[in-house]
Amino acid sequence: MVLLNDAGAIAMAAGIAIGLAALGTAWAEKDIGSAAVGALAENEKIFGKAMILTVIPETIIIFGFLIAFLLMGKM
Amino acid sequence: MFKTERMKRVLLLGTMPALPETVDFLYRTGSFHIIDYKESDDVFDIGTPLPEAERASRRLLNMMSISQNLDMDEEDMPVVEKIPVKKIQAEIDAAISNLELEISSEAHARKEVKNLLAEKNAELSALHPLKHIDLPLALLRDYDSLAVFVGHVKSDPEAEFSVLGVDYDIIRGEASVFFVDKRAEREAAEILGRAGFSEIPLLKISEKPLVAIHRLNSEIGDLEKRLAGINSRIDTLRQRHGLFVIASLEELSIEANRAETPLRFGTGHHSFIVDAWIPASSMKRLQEGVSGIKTGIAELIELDWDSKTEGPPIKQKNPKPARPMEMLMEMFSLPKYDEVDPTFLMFFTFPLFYGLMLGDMGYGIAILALVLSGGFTKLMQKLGMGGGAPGLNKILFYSGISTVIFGLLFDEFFGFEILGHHVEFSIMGIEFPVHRASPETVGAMLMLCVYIGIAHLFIGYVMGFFTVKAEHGLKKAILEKGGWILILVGFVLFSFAALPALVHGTELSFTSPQILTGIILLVVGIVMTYLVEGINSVLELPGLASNLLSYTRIYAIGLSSVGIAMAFNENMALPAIEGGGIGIAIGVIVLIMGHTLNLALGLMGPLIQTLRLHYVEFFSKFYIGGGEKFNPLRYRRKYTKEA
Repeated sequence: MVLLNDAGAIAMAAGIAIGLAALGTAWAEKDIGSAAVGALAENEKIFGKAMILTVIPETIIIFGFLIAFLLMGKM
Repeated sequence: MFKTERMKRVLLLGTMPALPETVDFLYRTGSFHIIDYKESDDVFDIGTPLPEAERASRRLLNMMSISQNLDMDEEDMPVVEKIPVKKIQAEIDAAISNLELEISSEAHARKEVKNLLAEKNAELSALHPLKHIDLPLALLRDYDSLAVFVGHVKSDPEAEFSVLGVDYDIIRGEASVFFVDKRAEREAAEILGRAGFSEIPLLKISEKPLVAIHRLNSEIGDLEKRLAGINSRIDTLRQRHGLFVIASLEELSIEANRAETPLRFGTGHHSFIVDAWIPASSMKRLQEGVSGIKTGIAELIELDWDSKTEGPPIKQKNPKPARPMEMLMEMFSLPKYDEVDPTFLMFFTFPLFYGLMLGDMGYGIAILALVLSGGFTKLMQKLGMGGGAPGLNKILFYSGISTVIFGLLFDEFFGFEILGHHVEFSIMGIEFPVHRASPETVGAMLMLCVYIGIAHLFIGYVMGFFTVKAEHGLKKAILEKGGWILILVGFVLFSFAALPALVHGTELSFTSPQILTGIILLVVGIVMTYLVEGINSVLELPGLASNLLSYTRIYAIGLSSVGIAMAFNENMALPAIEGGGIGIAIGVIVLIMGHTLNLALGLMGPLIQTLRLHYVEFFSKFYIGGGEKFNPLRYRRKYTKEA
């Protein structure tokens, strides 16, 4: 059995950080996205607002990305 | 540049004889944004259409039915030539009656054939479950002593039939037929009900099912041939007359609209009144134009208006190169009359962000090629978004140029480093090319993104300052947006000094001048904004931090695009090519497909993310929006031309 060394553990932590953050974003966006598409079908003029609402959760994955990078810096 | 076109509220008054000429004048000048007249007093009623309205709409209706019978797709018709209005007006009546004669018989025949086809197809699909029955269908009905059930069963009911004590017979298959002695009909129906029987209605066909299927197939074949013949004749007619039909549709709807324009005016017995917004700069020209109306008396008067209760329509005013960006504002929401219009700024920041994200000479050149060759327009049309293509084309053109420039700075050509160490240069102390994907540059690139964010948000607050000042005065502007500027600066000073402590775990010294200044600015800023916004200002503080960090997506998106490109190049294509022989062919195919995929992602991703940084992070600092688009009366001609 190969024991996990520090670098390996950090790399895994980085992967988990970005992976789970991505999952969170996707989860949040799927509901908003489908509602936004529905609303757009009713009224195309609200594209700007619909897009803003849809992409709000994207910040979550940016946080994951930053944490991953901070972790990688410690490898 | 940062203000939309200034507007004037006007009244156009005239005597009734001048009405038709005035309508023409309004359309010709294309400067009047009409406010529909609302009946408010006894002097004026809502106007009535010009006398030619009825004829125009009747012809329009005829032409529309012709166009429908010709299967015209009005969106997709290419403009081969513009037909002069005079020609249409001269030929339209003859054309309508000729085309109606020629087309209506074909259209009628087509409808009949289609109905017959539907009928035969329905019979055919009803016969399919019966095709194993080798009996003429006439033998399945009309017995005096025999009950017949035809249909599907879920379970086999034979065991129950056998104890009924009467004669019966069963033909099994996709659909089953049950013959039972008439005397036991009720019991048999109950048994079948328990077996999950669902009946198939028998058609009025006497032949054996297979024979009938064969006959129907050949009949359907004949009908389809006839339909194809009719369709090809209609195609020929469409090719011959399509352009004229679509051009006259355009002309007729213009005529109908023009004739119905007085519905938006107020009219009395002898005079009429038009309420409208016009661009302030056209006032003099339009006044002269109105005094040129000869068929009656007409006059253009300027009105005062109250900016608290009325908002003029918005006509954006930007230097020509920046105009394509106006589309981005329309997509979001047009600015209000007193607001700062950020379009001109987006002319710089949009390509900047886009280029920083994609930053690859190869992709940049590919985008430019797509845009300049018209390929992108075709692609958009195929996707059913042809309407947005012209505006997006120019935006992508700017973005493509900036992508090439940043590609040079990053030394990326489809993910390959082609400049290597041959070309090195330095701008403002930074050594170029900077390789985005190398670990040494990560920190610097992330910081660059945050710096861009700081600058962008700062500009946002400054614009907000002017908007608030225009709407609520200087004091509120200083307190609200000035406060936010202090918060931003203080926050940045503080966190930059505190960052090393956070990342490396060193001790945080609260006495350093930078941290102290930062904290003081923060506190002052919070107090100032608290005075106008209340507790909201405190609640929005964490939002500011996440807004700033959000700009690191510029680097993140870029990195993912380089990553994909490099994975295709170095992990897949190059090893294959080094293998030689067939490997070279495989490698080339991988390169082409991989980079096409990455280009598709690279077109969309940076576009959406750049838009988002503007719409969400930037606009939330100052933008209100909600302006109504300036929509003057004018003729929009695509297939026709005047004189």
